[in-house]
Amino acid sequence: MVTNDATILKIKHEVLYEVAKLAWEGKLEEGKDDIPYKMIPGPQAQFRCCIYKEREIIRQRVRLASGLCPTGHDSMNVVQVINAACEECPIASYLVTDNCRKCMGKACQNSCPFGAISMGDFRAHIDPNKCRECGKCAQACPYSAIAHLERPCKKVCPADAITYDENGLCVIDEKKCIQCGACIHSCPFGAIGTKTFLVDVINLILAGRRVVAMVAPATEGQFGTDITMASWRTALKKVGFADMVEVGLGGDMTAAAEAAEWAEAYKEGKKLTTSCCPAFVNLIRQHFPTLTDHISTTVSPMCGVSRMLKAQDPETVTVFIGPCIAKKSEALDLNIQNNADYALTFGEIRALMRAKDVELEPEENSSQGSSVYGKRFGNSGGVTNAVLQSLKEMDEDISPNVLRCNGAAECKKALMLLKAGRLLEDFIEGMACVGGCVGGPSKHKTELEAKKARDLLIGQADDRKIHENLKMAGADGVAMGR
Amino acid sequence: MRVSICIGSACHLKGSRQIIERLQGLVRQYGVAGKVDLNGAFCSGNCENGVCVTVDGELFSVQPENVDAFFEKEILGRL
Repeated sequence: MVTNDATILKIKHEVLYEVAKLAWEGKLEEGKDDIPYKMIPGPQAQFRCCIYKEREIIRQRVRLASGLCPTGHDSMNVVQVINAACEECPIASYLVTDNCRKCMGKACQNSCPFGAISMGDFRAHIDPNKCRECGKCAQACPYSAIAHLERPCKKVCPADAITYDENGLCVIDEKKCIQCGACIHSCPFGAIGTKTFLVDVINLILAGRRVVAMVAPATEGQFGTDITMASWRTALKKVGFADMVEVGLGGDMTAAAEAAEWAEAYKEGKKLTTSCCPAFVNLIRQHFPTLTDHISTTVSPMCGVSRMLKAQDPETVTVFIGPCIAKKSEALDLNIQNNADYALTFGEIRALMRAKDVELEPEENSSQGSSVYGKRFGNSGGVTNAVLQSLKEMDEDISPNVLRCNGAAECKKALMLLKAGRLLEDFIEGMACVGGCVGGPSKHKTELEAKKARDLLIGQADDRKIHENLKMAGADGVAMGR
Repeated sequence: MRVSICIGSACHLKGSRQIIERLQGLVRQYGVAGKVDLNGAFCSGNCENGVCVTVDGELFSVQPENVDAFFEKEILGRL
């Protein structure tokens, strides 16, 4: 995958690997301070001004990988700024470049409603005290000479949660942050990361607890055509997980419960939203609090599978694995009973495995835990399709209109309409990541890169129905209410 | 009121899961779900005093045996 943070991804993964390795050996406490020196031996700096800054960044990354805030201060947010790594990008957002010819037309000056533009010796000049960042000058310039500078993190944040302190360092407004993780890979300096449960999961496996992995529906296709659900089960068992369950099964569980809820709401004329995307749920709770009653009370697929596992054995520790950051915040919401104990990203679980010399190996696509509908929960539109299929299987003779919101921007638009009482559709499917979970911030491949392999693997699944699969898996009795 | 219970592995091994389940039960039983927000917390490094529970930022050390007393005094008592 081509990203602007390929070098950073390598460093991030290396830190996770070193932390995981020490944790497996039970030597994290005594060894963690050596990681910065091991990774940045010196004497030449490779990426920053000096090795001391590079080592400080690694030290902060080690803290994050161990579940701590990068700096000493305590904060509940999953997404954290690694402030040693933040390069204080310019905040002034419109800048006249060398393309300016100081032309006679002066469309920039004439278009500025605030009188912020004057003519300098060589080019136009924008007075930052007068500029209100409306962007009219940039649109007006016939030479495209006015550049819009925006911090990459701020630009991608759908919740307007990125601010900065008096020194220009990035600060996350935790009241606004919905933990979607979009900012993390947007930063070309890798200055935003997340706390991880990596060490906790390793410690519980080492302590002999029954730890079961639950692998996201978005997983199939991420690692090519020959890495199957069976490959995941084998690799996870090798590192000490007791078992692995496809969360696609949870997709079936959620679809069935959601269908019953929608059918009832439809008859009452009440509009509902889906509740499976935790960043979307956070968006409603934090930015549209008057709409919280519209969130469906059905729990997420992750929670459904966790409840099933804990009903079978209450001592089980459940760990979700996927491309999602916000699932960590869902695991931390203890108002929901028996949800996953921990959530890991693909990068984190691969570091955990690599530290034990275990890799995902090709295996026959022989293990199917979910209907095709459950598997497609990870695609935008997939939740709606599954719920509509479930309604059909339940002989509910209704045909609701659903607005499928692909990405946080569409979600916000739909929620604004709902708030204003002008939403035409009956239901909202909300997915904070474009493409659905397959476009999640911790994906291994982009939706497009993985599509062929994903279609092929899912295409090999049999055509079992949702309710049929629930009976087969013994999952039809699990309580799915919040 | 924000109540955070550490879910790190050290506190997990000291019984944080039991404490969470008991608190969830008590919150339902007393009908205070709208007033008490139960959250998990990443390890904050106070493992020797675990299980770490904070009530609106104030740190307590709770054991599975004394959850009920803790709930009455520090949660119900403050509502």
